[in-house]
Amino acid sequence: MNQRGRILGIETSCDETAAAVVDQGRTVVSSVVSSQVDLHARYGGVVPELAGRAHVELALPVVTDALQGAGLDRRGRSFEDLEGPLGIDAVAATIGPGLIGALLVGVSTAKAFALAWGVPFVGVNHLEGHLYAAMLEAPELELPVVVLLVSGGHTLLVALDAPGSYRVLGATVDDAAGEAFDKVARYLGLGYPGGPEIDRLARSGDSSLIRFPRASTAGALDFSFSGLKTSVVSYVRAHREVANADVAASFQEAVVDVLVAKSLAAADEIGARGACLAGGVAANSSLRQRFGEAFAARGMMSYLPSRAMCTDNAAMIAAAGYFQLERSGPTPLDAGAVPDLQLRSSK
Amino acid sequence: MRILAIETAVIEVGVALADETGPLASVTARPGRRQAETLHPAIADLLRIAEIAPSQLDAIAVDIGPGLFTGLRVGVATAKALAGALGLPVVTATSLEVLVAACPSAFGMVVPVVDMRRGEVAWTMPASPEPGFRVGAPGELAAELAALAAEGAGPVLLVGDGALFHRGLLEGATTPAPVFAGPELAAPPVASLAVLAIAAMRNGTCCDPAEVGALYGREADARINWTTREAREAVSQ
Amino acid sequence: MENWATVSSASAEQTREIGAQIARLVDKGDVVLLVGSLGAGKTTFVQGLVAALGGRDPVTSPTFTLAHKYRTSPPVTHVDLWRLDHLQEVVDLALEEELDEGGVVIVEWGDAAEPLYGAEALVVRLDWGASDGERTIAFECRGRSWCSRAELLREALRAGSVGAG
Repeated sequence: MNQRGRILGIETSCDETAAAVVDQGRTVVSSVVSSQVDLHARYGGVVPELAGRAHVELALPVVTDALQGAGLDRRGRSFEDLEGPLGIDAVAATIGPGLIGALLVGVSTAKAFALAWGVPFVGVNHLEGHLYAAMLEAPELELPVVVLLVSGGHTLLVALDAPGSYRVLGATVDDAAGEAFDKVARYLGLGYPGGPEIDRLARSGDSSLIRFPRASTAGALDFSFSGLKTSVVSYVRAHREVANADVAASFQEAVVDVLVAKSLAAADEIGARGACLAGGVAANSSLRQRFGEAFAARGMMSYLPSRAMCTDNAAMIAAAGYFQLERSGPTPLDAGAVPDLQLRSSK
Repeated sequence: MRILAIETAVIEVGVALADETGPLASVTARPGRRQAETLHPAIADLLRIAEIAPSQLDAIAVDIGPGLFTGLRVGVATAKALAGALGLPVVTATSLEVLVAACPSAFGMVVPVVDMRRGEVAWTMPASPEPGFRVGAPGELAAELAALAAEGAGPVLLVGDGALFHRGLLEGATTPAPVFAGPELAAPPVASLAVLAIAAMRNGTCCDPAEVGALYGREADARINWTTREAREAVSQ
Repeated sequence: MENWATVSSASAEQTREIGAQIARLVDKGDVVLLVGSLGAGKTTFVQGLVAALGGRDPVTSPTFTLAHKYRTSPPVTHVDLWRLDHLQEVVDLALEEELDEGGVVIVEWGDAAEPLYGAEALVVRLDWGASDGERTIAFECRGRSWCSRAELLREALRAGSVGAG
């Protein structure tokens, strides 16, 4: 790869269609996420949105927008010199984990761009992408760090030793933290997605009113939220007069307690210099505050990414693609999607 | 004029190159659900065999269905991206149109039938006044064939995997029985798609890749009538 | 011949064991629809079933990604429709392509899939019982293939309740 190391990243593992251009795994040149731009209006109201159909219609427009943000046309040439050299050095896409019908669109799109342009294709693990989200916003980040990845689909504790070098310390054994937020929210009649609503309602509730269980797991750094979800339902069934705000606050307290305690334990275990939040639940204000305070009290830095970088995006996929290309080269064109891809510690 | 054609809608992954003289090269496979693993290496191999660089192409053609979801997503996403990356237009054809184009034109009535799974097929009747295609049980197709025969239509050629899969039922639809095309025409032949696309390009029938979408042939506009997913107010009675 | 059976479970452990017993009945091309409200034990049931089919990866909730696939024999696609609002989204999951390939499809919040897959399926309804940990689990065989296995189902359930004591 040349010095520029400019990667086009594509992400379609779940609900979002996203594309980004990132230089050398560190500098975001452009980043486009379908839900954040008016693509649905421009390319026909795509309803329903889940289950993969929309990705087929949105992938090319989203990639086009990302290239445009980098000063390139759809053919990857600079607007200033349309017959000039190609402005992209490799194309990366999420190959898993995720929904097969959604992943296939991003993988097919990325491989086609790579093939058409004659540049390498890189198939990226979505979860590894999340590890680099904080680095994209905080280039001064000193490694090793503990990354707490908390989203609707995943809850993971990872030690990031260097780009491309990481160890998985713990994971959920049942429900993801974000899923527990969404399910409790809908059960309380707060709609979907419910994470932000729980966050808002919890501010007016008494977080010590109900002592929901903090589940213990076989692995000290693993998580379990299924029992907590069931406890909330069970409590509300038995106490029909209880206020939603108190349930929300007590529930959120239980989740945040566990997330913060295990992150601290993980940081101690690996001798971390700091800690990062990643994933959609990283937008939760109580988690941000208590995570920041807990690490500050230990004299450690904590990095709280912006909302755009917490949620699924393609900049983190392009970054992961850059590091992977440097470390282990391109992915062959006969690679497919791997819906059950796990994050395993790097060798 | 050189066109790269992509077929993934039914049971085959196929890529072909054609120009005004006809098909130049093609690669096909029946890889089950490994369409994404198969298609891109096939395109790379095809271009290498034909000694053509991607930049020497003039258009991309793609079968947009009806057919199977997995294949359609892979094929349509790939065609859109290739055309976008190369600055080319896209020619689209339905799987049923390609099947008809693959049959000898001397045969009067051709009915293309694609298997849609779950006991349903997609088909078009010859000279149907309605545009588009029908999706339904093979029994409905058999009834339409019988009605056609009752009007005194001549012999009918059934082509496509749906016809072969439901051959037992469809054979009895008319007397004499319809003629069935062989298994080599179970999937729309990609070379036929390429030849169709050359003709379409001559007529200027092409579009920007951003406008291309798949025809899944499975539309359901109902909202889910949830009873289990209710909030606490409804749970407590 | 009755096409249904009911069993009660005293704990998540026992729900898992009942899931494991049902694993003996499932075959490629089968659809199992799990119906029950939040916390009724649907994922727990699937954990037992998938482990009994040789699944080694942890069975976590597929609510967010909509589907998980396990390397079991036969391969299980574990689907969760909780986030969906339109039948079209269920159609778009293309589950018949999984079934065609010899897979088993197990659907949480399966009532949403009944218009598409309800005619030929094992429908499992999980409900909260009288006490906190208790659940009742009702099984209904739909279609010829499942109805022919109704007696096997009752045998499996007897083994499940004995096994979990």
